[in-house]
Amino acid sequence: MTSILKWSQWMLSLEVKNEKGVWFNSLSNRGIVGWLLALFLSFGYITLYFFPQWLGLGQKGMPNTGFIAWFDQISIFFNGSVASQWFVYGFLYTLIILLMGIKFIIKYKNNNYQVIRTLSLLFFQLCFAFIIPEIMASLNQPAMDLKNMWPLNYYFFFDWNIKKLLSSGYFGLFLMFWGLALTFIISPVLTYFYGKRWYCSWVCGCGGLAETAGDPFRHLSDNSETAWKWERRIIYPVLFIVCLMTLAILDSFFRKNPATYWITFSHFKIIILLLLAGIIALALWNKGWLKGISTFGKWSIISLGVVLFMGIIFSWSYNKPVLWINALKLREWYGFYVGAIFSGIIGVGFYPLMGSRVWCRFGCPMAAILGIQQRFFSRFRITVNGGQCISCGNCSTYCEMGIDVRSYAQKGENIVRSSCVGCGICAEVCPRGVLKLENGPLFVEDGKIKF
Amino acid sequence: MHIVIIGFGISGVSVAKTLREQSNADITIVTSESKSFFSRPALMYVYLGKMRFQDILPMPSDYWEKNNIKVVLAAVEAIDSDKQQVVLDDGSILSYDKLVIATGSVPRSLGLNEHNLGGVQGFYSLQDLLLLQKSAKNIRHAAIIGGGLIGVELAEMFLSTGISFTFWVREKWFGSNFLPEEEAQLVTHYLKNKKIDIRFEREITHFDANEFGQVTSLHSQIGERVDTDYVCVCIGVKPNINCLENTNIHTNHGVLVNACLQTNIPSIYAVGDCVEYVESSFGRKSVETLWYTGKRMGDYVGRNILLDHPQRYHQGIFFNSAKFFDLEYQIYGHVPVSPEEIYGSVFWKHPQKDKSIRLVYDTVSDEFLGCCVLGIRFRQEVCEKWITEKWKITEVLHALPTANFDSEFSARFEMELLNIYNNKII
Ligand SMILES: Cc1cc2nc3c(=O)[nH]c(=O)nc-3n(C[C@H](O)[C@H](O)[C@H](O)COP(=O)(O)OP(=O)(O)OC[C@H]3O[C@@H](n4cnc5c(N)ncnc54)[C@H](O)[C@@H]3O)c2cc1C
Ligand code: SF4
Ligand code: SF4
Repeated sequence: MTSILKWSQWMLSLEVKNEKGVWFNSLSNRGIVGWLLALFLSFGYITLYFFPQWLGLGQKGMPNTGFIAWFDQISIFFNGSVASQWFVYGFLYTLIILLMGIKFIIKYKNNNYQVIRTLSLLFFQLCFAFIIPEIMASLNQPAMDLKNMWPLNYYFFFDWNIKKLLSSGYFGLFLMFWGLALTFIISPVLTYFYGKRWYCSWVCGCGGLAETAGDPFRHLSDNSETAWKWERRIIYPVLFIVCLMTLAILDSFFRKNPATYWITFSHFKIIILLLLAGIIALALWNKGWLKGISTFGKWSIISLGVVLFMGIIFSWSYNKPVLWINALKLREWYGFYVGAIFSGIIGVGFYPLMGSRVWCRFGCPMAAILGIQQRFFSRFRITVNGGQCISCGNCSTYCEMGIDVRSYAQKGENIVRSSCVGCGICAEVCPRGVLKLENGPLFVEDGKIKF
Repeated sequence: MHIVIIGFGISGVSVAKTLREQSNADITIVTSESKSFFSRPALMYVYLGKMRFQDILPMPSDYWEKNNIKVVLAAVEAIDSDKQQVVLDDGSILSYDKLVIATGSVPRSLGLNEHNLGGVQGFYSLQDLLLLQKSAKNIRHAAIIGGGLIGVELAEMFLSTGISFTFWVREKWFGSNFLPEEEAQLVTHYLKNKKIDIRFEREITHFDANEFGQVTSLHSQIGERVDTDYVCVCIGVKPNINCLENTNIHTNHGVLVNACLQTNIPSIYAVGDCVEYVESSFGRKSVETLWYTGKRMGDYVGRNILLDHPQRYHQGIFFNSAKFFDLEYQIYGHVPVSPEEIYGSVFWKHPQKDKSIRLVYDTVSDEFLGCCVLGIRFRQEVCEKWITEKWKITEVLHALPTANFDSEFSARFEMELLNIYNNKII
């Protein structure tokens, strides 16, 4: 115990030099070292995903060799069987988050927000993403990352997942309800109070890697208007496709088992149509908290909603798969292009080229949903301290989401942006203390803060 | 209507931006420094490699073209206020209907003819940065002269790139010419912990140079001689009014302006560092070489230059902020260098960390006058409210938590201040 204490004291006495010279360092200025690392990471992902035999994964029941075999003993310790490629991936992923997380904490040790936030990320990665699922698996229960929710966890509503959960007794049922509650109750409530940061930079595994291992690359995120445009052009379509895919898969699931469960196919149809009608009505109403949407955006939502609504009704009335979508094909396509290539190879492999949050910024459907809520229905914002900004650009440069924070700060405008993950680094690097992450409308009245 | 602005710093830019929001008048900005508008306080970060030059441009580089603001790269050589013309160094002539002088400052000189020596420079302009970047590789031992905000920035720059240097400061403590003594001591202590060779109460008397006119060493008034092949003089700045010589525009230290920031010639205005504002309110300098002042004056002139009956310029409540390495400093309102002599002041300092808070109040009326903080952030709106509404010090002490602007989960110290005040009045 005392040695651990001593060790941690020693760690905290270390200094990680501030961002000095990131633009002078070949690793972090898209120099040759950065490119090499990007190639290495991308190829690492490709082999791990598609050619695990190259790394020594045993084929057809043969024992593992080489790289993967190194992890056999660890895997046996955790879940009783030899290492799979996914175990190796999860193990290395967690290890990197832990090591780089400690570095991050040392670097920002004077900022309690950064320290506590990073400890939370380490905790969720280590326990929720790694240890608990391994324990579940070793107890022959369905293994699930309890913090991974739909739509980031896009297979939550896949037929095999639903079947697995519903056939695992009370524990499976609990997981089913937990997953539903996360998406539809816990997340909206937390996002209302704290913004999307509660997930993206306190809990999420992708965020965990981006915040720790990705920290040296955060300044590489493009903060131009053009990048922002592409962000919106990609992330909302991905969200849209996830929803379509989920709809199609649930549709085919219910088509095969129309009345096996307490939710029947007709219940399902009604729920979906009501949901869609609700979205259309909201956009039509478009008052109060929706005021930020442009007229064009509003009418595109409405017309898209109406087209979908009609399409769904037509396909169902002809007793065809919903919107005539081939659910299996779409699922395969999404799993390959979005699940593997986008979130893995590009998302992590491109850290040294496009910054640490490529996936979170351009691709993640979860971030899209939380972002919409953050923009229109949340108490979170970044407050700007009067006229203190000297337009230096540190905030914009080090924002990993490529938000041009300075363009708001120099006008004295608070920052409410759907993509902000609340990492707090803009506030940390600002040399004049201009920015503060805050929740809630803060009225200072008679010298007392009122909520 | 053609408006010509001399100077592409924050003051000139603020005039142009605000003016463009109000009118379609032709706007031309003349600058001799750079066709890009950059943040001057951010120059150091380019040197440190924290940002590239393109990162310190506050506005997208196509802003000027999009908003039909012409930027001319040339130096103004003469102003003819009778013909309403300015003469540029490339020989061309610009006619104006209204002229705005926003020429900023130039570094002060030691008066030792140091600028004729090679290896001696100031740190103000983009050219200064480029020169320093070029020289940096060959510096064996540098000298920073002047313990001000720019001097400490240079110290950080040299330290980060491993250039050995001596920091020459005239005062007894670092910053004792603009900070109360306790704060100056705190900052001095902080700097000494950085293992900087910092020498206090020194004045440079002369330099030695080699046969090429390159500086080789310097001497202080107590007889030290230190080998030095590079010197950065940053003993403050003074208004840049060079191009106003031989004109009938009135100047003293800076360009003299009235309550509407007009010079003695009604069609000519002046804003920013180059201004001497004699109507300055109590406790404030008539020459304020601050980013914030330039921005405020620029916005004001942009809004009022076309009006027949312009409003008076309001300085607002004074505020400033700075950073000494990682130690942040903020000031709001009136905090004199020796507050205890005339006013009351409540001062708290963290027992271990580099943090302090000082509140200054009038002992007769108990009115809150201002505050300054080190290592802690305060909310500007709240402090301004207390000062304009003339809150009593006790009210301020009880409302102190509302002023805190530190990041979430930071330790709070309001109770300590209240206790200090209570002990003091018993
Ligand atoms: C290193 C450094 C750090 C600083 N940090 C801070 C800080 O943290 N906070 C703060 O409040 N202030 C700071 N300042 C001061 C701040 O930068 C100035 O107050 C501010 O830039 C003044 O703006 P300005 O527009 O009045 O003048 P300037 O920015 O000086 O712009 C004047 C422009 O006019 C041009 N010009 C001058 N004469 C002519 C001519 N004859 N013809 C054509 N063009 C001409 C110059 O080339 C220059 O580009 C700092 C200054 C420096 C040098
Ligand atoms: S705006 Fe600030 S808090 Fe939000 S993502 Fe960017 S750096 Fe992080
Ligand atoms: S880092 Fe701070 S001072 Fe610099 S541009 Fe951003 S808000 Fe302004």
